[in-house]
Amino acid sequence: MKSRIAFVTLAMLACLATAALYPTARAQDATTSADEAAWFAVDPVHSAMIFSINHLGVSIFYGRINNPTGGFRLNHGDPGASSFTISAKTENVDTNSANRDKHIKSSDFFDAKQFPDLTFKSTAVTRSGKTTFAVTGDLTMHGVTKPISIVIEHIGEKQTRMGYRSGFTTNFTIRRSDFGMGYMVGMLGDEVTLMIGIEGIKE
Amino acid sequence: MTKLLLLGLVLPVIVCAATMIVAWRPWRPDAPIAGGLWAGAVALAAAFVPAFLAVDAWPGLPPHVTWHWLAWLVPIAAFAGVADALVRWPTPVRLLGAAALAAVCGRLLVGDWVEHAWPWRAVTVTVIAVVAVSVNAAAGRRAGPELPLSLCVAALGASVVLFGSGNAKHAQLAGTMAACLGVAVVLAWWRPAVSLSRGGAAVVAVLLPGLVFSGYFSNYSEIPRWVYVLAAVAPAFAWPAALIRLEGLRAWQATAIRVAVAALPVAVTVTVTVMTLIRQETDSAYPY
Repeated sequence: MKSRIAFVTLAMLACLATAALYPTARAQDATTSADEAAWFAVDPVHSAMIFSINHLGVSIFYGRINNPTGGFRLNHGDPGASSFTISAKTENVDTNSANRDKHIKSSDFFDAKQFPDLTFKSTAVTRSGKTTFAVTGDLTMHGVTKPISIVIEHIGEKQTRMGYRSGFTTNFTIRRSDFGMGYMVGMLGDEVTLMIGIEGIKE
Repeated sequence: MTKLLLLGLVLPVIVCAATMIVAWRPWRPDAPIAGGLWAGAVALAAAFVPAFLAVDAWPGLPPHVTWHWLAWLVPIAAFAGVADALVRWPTPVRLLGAAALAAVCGRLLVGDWVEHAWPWRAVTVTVIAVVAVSVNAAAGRRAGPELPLSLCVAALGASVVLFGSGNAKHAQLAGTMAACLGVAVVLAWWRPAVSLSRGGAAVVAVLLPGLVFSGYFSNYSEIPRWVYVLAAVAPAFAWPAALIRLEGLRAWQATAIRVAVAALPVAVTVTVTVMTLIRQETDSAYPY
């Protein structure tokens, strides 16, 4: 009898321990992370890079660069240990006009055959709010690398039917002429605003 | 837009005209011809500087964009052109010089990122050398507006092909060059002794094929590859045209016929470009 009670007690403790250690299916809020060291690979299908630019001084025109790649680590406890590497192929520019896409990819703008990649690599991360981080890094575009500072907002992370996922969003503005793409400034604005939403899958 | 027009067209034309006028002094029919031989190369190269600045910042050395090598190669070509115009080098030396210039251009203007880079380097070197030698020969054979007019038409044709291929910058530079060659046409019409001379050949040979091939390497259009090659080599047709003997015709009639012959490849390239654009007009709402 004593041995049965001891066995049941041990079994219950084991169940409790397993339940405590097993990754929770409940969503983490955006101020914490279940695994601070985890690396999240960008899910290109659920991530978006949208850009907007002034057209002829009369409107704001939007386009996107499909299928971003890369990955990130977001460490709430030690923000300095966070890291972001996000890339996209300039070939994947999509403005809902085949002719315009060809023009944007030509040597007038992206020069996509010579400079196929657009990349951001973080160099320093600090916490700037409850769910926000100030990220400094190098943006490489058209063969020119410039340091930029952006603020990213961690939206959340949780176990889903499609794996453990985390995501963030950021908006920032650059001057395309800083990257050697200053052609037709006037007809097209020099300032380009990027709106980026990234969803990553835990590796 | 104002910058593109002023810096990209008006200023280059003024620079080109001023250089040619200062060198040749066309208001003085007795001015020594030798005094202006350097003008063609210098005028075209000097005009290229503001034209380039209208579309891009002047590049460092080495440029990080491959086609920006043109900004450095054009002054080098001008230097070679002036040396060629002022000194009577033996023919083998001149041919060797043209080949060396073409080789340097082929190596620098065709980046390693270009698909089939080495075959394209060979094509580029060959075309530049052929254009340099042919335009040189045509310049030595015919005075007057015939050669600048043939080259002007070739530059316009290259501009149309480049515009059709979606390379507006390159098209603009080729168009500016056509405008500068137009200045040479007007001056040569006024004083037939005024010529681009041999010097201008080196600049034309580097700039026009350089622009056309650079445009091809970064293009996404459906214009066939051979159209670019023909557009690049088009200035060389001025030489076979200059060989045509036309007797019993007035000067302007002979000029018109020779220019028409030299413009045959331009007619082909422009026609194919326009036909290609019409065929792919699924997206006509985007004119640029």
